[in-house]
Amino acid sequence: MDLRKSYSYFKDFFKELLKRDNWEFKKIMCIVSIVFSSLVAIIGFASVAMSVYIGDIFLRFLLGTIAILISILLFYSYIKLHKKKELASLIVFVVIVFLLAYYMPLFPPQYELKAYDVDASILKFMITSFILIIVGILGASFSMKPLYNFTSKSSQASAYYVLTVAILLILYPLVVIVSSIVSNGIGGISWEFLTQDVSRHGSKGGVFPAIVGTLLLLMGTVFIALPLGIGSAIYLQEYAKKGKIVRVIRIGVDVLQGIPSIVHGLFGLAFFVPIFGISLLSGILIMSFLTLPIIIRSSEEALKSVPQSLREGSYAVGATRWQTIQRVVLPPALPGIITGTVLGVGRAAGETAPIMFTAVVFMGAGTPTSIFDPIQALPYHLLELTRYIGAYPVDQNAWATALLLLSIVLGMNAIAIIIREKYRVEF
Amino acid sequence: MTSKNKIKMDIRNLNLWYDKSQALYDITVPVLENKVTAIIGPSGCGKSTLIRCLNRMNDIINKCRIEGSVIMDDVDIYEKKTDVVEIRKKVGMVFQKPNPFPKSIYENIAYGCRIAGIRNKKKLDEIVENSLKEAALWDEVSDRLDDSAMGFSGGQQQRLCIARALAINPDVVLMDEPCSALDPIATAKIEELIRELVKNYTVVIVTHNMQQAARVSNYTAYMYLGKLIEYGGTKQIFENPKEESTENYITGRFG
Repeated sequence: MDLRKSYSYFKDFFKELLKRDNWEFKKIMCIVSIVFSSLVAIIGFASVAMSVYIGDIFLRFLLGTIAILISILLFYSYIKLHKKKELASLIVFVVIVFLLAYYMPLFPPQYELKAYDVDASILKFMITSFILIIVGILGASFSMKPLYNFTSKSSQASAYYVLTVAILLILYPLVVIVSSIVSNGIGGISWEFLTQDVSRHGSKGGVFPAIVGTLLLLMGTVFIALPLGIGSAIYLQEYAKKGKIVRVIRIGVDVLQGIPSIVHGLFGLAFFVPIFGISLLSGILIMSFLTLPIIIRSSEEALKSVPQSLREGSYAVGATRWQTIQRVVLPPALPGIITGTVLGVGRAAGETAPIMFTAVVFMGAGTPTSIFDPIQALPYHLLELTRYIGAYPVDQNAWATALLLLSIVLGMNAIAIIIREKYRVEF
Repeated sequence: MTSKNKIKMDIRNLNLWYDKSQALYDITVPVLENKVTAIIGPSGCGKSTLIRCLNRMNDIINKCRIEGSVIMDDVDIYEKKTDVVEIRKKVGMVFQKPNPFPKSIYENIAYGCRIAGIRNKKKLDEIVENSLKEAALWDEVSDRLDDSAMGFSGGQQQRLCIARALAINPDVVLMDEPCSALDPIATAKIEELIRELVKNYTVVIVTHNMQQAARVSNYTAYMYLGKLIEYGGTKQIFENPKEESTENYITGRFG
């Protein structure tokens, strides 16, 4: 894994640095500069995450210190190493940071966008924290250059640093979103919330019918979409001769996957609701359309990953095509197929648009007794609650519903990952 | 041996096209019963294509067209009414790269029998044991029959594939460069195995390695650019080739 690799790389890096006998001025300066720059980037992150402006004087101090640290490194390397050309980018960087340190605090606290007919504003703290993140990352990566005397090792070290930070950047929104939902929603989760029906526009009571409805919807979707999806994938991958028809079908599947979910919803309203009414069945059918392409595509990939030589080995002992698929191809492909299905259904669990016209009501559905009854569902419940925010005291329940929905979807993804890792077959 | 020169499979005027390019030109060569027939030749000359014709493995390749006939036991395996599954039960195959199924050793070998409809546990046990013994693998794996086949070494996996091919009790065993992915020790074991197998089976082997052909085979066919150049006893081919092309290849002047 890349993360583990870069971890061990950094471990070696710090081990190398901590050897007392090769401590010298340049190294200490570089380490101080790297650590300080990283700290600045982290402060930038934290400032966005917590919506806090860090203050003009502190900002000036942070940026100014980076600029001074790197200028010291710059002079030192110029005197010791005479690498004029390589120093150019550092000089530009230092000049920019000095300018930022002087001018950033002079910005007005927010820019109104009214002049552009947009009712919004860009906040200063957003700009400054992003600048801090960027300057911090660049500062650290520039300080690695003098550390390794501008050799190819230095560009390698700074590349590793930037890539590792990039991985953290990907995780960052996830952490912010999940942590804010959990911290806001955990207070609303109670036995009452999980087991009672909606009352008073969602400000009291719970979401029990919505949980039941969502689960029924997902089960029905799996029931319809899984056999169809696996069947189509087997046909496309194993039976069909590669020609025009298969290509057209495959393009069709991709197009189906690209259809916006609200269009699915309208389609259901036009075609299923007149026949089945606003009902669980309509919702299941639409959700199956939505998840089918994901299941087909991932099943195809899973089947493709079974080497052709295994199929040949099976044919060579007199197996028919179906026996080969059934006994040799499907078993190792199954974890991949199940993973794809769970991911597809996980996506369906969070969708509101396809079911809002076809299957759900906000309250009063209770536990459906037949597939022709309407249901309540968590994402739609959340949508309605957010509409009532301000009008009724529903905030607590809205956050709790979001938390519940998030845990269902993340839980399904976790199951998919566990299945994939545990039952993966290496060839 | 009584059936000293009986022809087991007779390839007659075989032509093969992949889409529009012809890969085999008018091949006519016999495969003698209870003998090892080696097919040698430089890369891309059609050796593998030819051996895959013998159990109709080329059927599963798109746009592959075959003309001519392969007669086995008085039946043309390319006739329309011939059942390809029956052919493959009589003609087993071992591939270039060991390709055990990701199952246990036992299931790997019992696979062919199971799909043929044998469900009797006792009989399956017996077949598994006999096949493993025939493939000289029994002593190494007899206590690990339930272990996954993927955990064994390349040489063991290849012998497992041979055992799998033998389990359905074929008449002919085709080997498509069975040793090209193996080290010299595993190769030596497989060559010894081939010399044993030929007492009960007819073996056809494709090989890059001319020393191997000389060591294990009774008859040798030399192919070049999709054509059969020369066929004869191995000793004659290696010591006294009639064609110049054969001599050039065998003496290492090209290929």
